[in-house]
Amino acid sequence: MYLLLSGEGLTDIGVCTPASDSCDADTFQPGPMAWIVDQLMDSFLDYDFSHIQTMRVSFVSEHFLATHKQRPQKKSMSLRGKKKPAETKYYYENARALATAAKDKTIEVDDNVIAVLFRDADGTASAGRGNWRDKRISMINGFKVEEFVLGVPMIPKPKSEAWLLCAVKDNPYQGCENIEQESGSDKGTNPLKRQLSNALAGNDSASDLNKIVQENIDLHEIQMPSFEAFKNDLNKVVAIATGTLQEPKI
Amino acid sequence: MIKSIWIDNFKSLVDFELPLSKFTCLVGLNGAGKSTVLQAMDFISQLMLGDLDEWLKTRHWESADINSKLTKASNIEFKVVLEMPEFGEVNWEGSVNRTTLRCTQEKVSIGHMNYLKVEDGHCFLGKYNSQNISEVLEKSLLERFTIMFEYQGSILSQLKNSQTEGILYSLKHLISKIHSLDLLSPELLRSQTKISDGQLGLGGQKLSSFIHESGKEGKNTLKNELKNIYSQLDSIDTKSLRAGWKQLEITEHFGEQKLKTTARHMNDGMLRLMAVLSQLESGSEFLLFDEIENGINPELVEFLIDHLVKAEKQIMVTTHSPMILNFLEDETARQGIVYLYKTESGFTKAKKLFEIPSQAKKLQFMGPGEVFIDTDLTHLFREIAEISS
Repeated sequence: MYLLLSGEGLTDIGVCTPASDSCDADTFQPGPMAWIVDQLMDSFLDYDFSHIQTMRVSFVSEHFLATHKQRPQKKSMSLRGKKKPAETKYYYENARALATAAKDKTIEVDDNVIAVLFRDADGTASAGRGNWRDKRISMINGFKVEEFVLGVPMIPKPKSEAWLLCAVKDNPYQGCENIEQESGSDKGTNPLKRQLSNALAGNDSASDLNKIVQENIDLHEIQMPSFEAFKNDLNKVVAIATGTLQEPKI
Repeated sequence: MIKSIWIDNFKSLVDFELPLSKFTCLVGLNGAGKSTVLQAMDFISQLMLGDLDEWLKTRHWESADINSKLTKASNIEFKVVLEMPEFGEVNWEGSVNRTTLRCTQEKVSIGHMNYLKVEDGHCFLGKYNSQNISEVLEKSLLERFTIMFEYQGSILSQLKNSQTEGILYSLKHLISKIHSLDLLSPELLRSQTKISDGQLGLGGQKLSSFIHESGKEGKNTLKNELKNIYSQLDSIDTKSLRAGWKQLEITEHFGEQKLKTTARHMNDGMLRLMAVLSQLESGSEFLLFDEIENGINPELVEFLIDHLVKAEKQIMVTTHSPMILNFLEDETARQGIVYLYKTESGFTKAKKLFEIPSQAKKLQFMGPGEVFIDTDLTHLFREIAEISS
């Protein structure tokens, strides 16, 4: 099994070092969300196996997906309507592009490739607008339209700091669903970024966060709808990839 | 080319700045102020023509309708920045008294060089350094006179061509050739008229006489353009009727059958296209069209948009149609699509749509129209407020 990750930056999925739009494990610098993926997969596999440490991981940036976006589908443009809610097409097109990159990777590594697409629910592309559920469904539909079954949406609500904050705040893991209602903006009165930094006494660099995910967090204790949806989706594709769950018909 | 327009105290436009490109497309929710912007541009153009009373009459407005009800300011202030290849960046600014409808203050400048100044009932003409008035660069041109006559709009509307050489002449020409068709209506397009004075009315009236005056060549050019999309079209003709009325008609063929149709019975889309295309060949410098998509079948949108984007003139349109936007190249869209919105206090503001981070990000993955239709516009102002803070 092989992992293909896409995210937004160093403090979520990670980046290529030196900077590049795509890279394999040797130049990939994983971020806290990549370690979350890795640890959860490890737990789903029933045996100790880190895809990151065994170099079975590749990364593509958002810019890579933009430059490798898929051709428009039959219709010249897709209209918003009852079946297509607002603020979703960005997620849909990202998923389509990643699905295609993952299919190419599958041939290259001759193995099942699980593709994880990380995007904040309340990130730059939607700035607080739109509905988390619609965005997640759009990603699933994007994977589906490219006939790719091993795609996983990773959309923290409102953003990645929320999942981490749940685990490191006072009374960790308690009442975390409320964090999902906060704004993802970094310019608000008490932004999540600052709350996370305060909870960690300022030790919130990407490497601090990586260490915390690997050593101090029990991922199975985080009870937040956006996290559980991601966890369940990942569990399902791991089961499909290992053959314990039948591949769904698309 | 006009680079930007700033206006203060014109209906919902308070401290309002509009960036302009060669092709500008205004988008926004209903009531955001798109039509008001077109009216403001027409108002600014009228300042160069004088006779604001007639302008108000044409629009069925009173002078009390012009100013904003949201502020206590009395005068309407404006500033137009133009890029003129032969002179550089020219500024024309002024303050219009709402009662006399006159620019009681007015200035034309390039950097700190003034070319015209109206102040306290006096007019200065010539090139001089505004920071050091003794530094007169073109003495022969310098004139200072007390304004002893009544007028409306800009003093430039009253000066003879011999007094407005160079920059002032070019400025006057360009601004007075802004032409708005913000009330284009099928009924008015169909009407017979006598003379056009070289341009259509706000609602498209005078189309028959405008086409008549364009002569055989003009009609032929228009026919050839329209034939690209109406292959059955054979000719566009005009007839002089009794008392000078002009009648517009087309001849089409269906199989062997020839069919003549007068404007009264022509389809709306063809009439609108005729109005738009004929204006692209007119003497106007800057054309404004409100809701450009009206009456135009989606099949013809690309044809229309390509003509507008490639036109030699500066063009501004408003639209609600994502399809119009989707036929713009990304770079044209980045430069030209301007989002209008209202602040919580009711003021209209403008922002280039793809300078908003979320919109720029989406444009990487989809067409400009798809970005527009995918976005929850009712909340977009919050993001703009956040990036501006």
